[in-house]
Amino acid sequence: MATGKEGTTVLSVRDLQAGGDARAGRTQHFDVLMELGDCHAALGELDQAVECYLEAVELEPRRAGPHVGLGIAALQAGQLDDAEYWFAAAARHEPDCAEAYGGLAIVHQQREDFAAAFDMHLKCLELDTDNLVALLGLFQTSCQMGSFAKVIQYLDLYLQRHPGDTSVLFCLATLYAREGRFENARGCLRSVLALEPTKHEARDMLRQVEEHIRPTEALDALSA
Amino acid sequence: MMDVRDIQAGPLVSVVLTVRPTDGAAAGALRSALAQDHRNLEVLLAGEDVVRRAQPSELGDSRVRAVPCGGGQAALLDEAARQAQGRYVCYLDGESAWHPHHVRTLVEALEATTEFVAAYADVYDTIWRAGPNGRQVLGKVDHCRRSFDRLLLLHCDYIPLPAVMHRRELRKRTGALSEASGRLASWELLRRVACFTDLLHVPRVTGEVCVPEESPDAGPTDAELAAVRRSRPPRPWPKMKDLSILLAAEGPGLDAAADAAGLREGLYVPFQLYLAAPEAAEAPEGAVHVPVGPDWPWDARVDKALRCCEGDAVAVLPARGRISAEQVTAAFHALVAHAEADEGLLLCPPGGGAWGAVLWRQQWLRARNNWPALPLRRALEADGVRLRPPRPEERPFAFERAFGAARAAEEEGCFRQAAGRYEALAGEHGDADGLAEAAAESLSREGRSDPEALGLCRRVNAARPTVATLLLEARLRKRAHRTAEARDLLLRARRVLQWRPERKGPPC
Repeated sequence: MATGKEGTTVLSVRDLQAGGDARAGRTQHFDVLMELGDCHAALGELDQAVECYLEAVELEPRRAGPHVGLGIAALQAGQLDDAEYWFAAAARHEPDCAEAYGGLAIVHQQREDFAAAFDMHLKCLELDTDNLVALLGLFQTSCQMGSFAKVIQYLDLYLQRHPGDTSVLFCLATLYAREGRFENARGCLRSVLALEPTKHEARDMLRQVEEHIRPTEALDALSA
Repeated sequence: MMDVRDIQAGPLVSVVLTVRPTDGAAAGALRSALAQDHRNLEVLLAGEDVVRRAQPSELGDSRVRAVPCGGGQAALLDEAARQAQGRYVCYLDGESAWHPHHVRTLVEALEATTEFVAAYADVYDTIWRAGPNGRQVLGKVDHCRRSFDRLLLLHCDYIPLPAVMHRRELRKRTGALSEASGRLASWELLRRVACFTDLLHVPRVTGEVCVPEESPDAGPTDAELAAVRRSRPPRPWPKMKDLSILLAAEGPGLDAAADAAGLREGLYVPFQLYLAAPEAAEAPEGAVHVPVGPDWPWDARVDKALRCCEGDAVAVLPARGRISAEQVTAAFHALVAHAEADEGLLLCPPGGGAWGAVLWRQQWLRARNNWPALPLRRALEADGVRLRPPRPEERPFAFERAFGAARAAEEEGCFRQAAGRYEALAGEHGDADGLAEAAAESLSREGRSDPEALGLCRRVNAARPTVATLLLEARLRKRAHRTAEARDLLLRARRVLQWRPERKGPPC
């Protein structure tokens, strides 16, 4: 409703507009640029993507989205310093932006600074436990560093919400096996094979895991 | 060099471009007028210092004529209309611009019909904010995509004047605008136009009106609103029923005067107040005083006032108790749009006791002539008038209420139900594209009906694409992993967003 200076109320045209169009109109140009930038990036048209994200930054300099887009484009172009600059800017503008930390983690990972990458992956997962890229990144950096406790916790959390994700189940099985927790590993691998019976690497690993378990089971049977 | 035959093709169209001292981008508006692909134009540049404000190259165009005049928007519109020579007149101001096909689109629509003498297209609200390099466009949204609704236009300014074109002679019938309507003069003009003709809706975006993100303007004043609502073009009105409101409170009449003042603020249909009171001083501004004796009973006061009323319909307000403007409007609307020939609509104040009614003037007069000795209500009954209150379904703005209900369902997360309501509304009320867009938006939010939403979106974009519908279809295609198709739609949307009057060619 529009209100006259002295308080009279008159129905305004904006009250009749479809679904908060007027409100949506304030971010429409930004939304078009971001969507277009993402499409260009997905199609490998990096120059056009960068152009869109830069325009979006001009419109909304304090929004993280276009900074993240620019960071990803820089990563794809192999420009790690630029990527770090844009991801850091995104994190500065929106400290809750999980993608910004995920991007920084990838930058550190590519520089083989696994400790820093691990921290950034963790930060990303704290903000977005559903972030599969960060989860797998955390798994990879853990493998490099030989420290798995944190990863197992996040993989477990993820699987509670996505119990059918066989790639994550397989990662978890790998970690359990490396930790010597063969029973857990066998459970994960059986779940993988129930969902994907033709997954050969899971079948192979299950065979290896069972070879570790069998002597223990035989000993248990003897002692019983 | 422009070919003279090219310039003179089609009817002459007068473009009235009013320029106020505060307008920031009048040059853009003028450029958009001169860039029309319908070339047979005269551009009347009306304002106080228009010659200084226009670019020399534009004033060098033989089609531009300066109409230097002072005063407010009403005076500029009136003076330019007086000087217009075209078969059609259309309007621009410093904060609006047309796409190159605007004039041609409306001329073609009006030339193809004998039923309408006025038409309007759709325009974008171009929302902007000041940026480091000038204005930044934040979005372009439909101003209000609606087919013509007279009552709605009387209620609010849902059709912007830059979207409208009408036959020149219509302006002579609408009369001079009220200077007191201030910034609402363009709405006053359209309210007057609607008394004489329906407006043909051409569902195509042909222009833009600039709207700042944060308006420094506090909105219209009560005085401006009151001036618009009091404004009445010269009668007769072929397309609008005139309403006389008759107040004849018993006693000295002071209560009636207060009631009149309250009604005047809330009523948006054209009306004329009649106050039957002993003293003329009791009549509020603009009301017609009907002198009556201080000891006259209510029926006698009403009888005298009824013979002065000129409206097609007369609302006789109760002797006691207050009737709201909404009650009067609802009863008037029910009488005009729904009532049987022998029905009248009751006006009952809260608490009961007194009564009033809205009837056709002829019904009142016939009943009084046939049954002068009976009390007023008995006379109506004896004359066969069936009095009843307005029914809920007869209230005005049925479409707006139904649309609001669909919107509320959407806000509550009932997306499929909302989409169904939008589509049902399209069947009942038209405006198929706008409602299909709303249904598609709702289905896309549901997340499980993307193919259905995409089908609706494609249909809208084939007929009448806007930035919002292109963006929605692109998002749906992207979700379906059809990224290249999404990109192409977004590129079209961006071209529309980047369009400025100074750019040659259409935006899309």
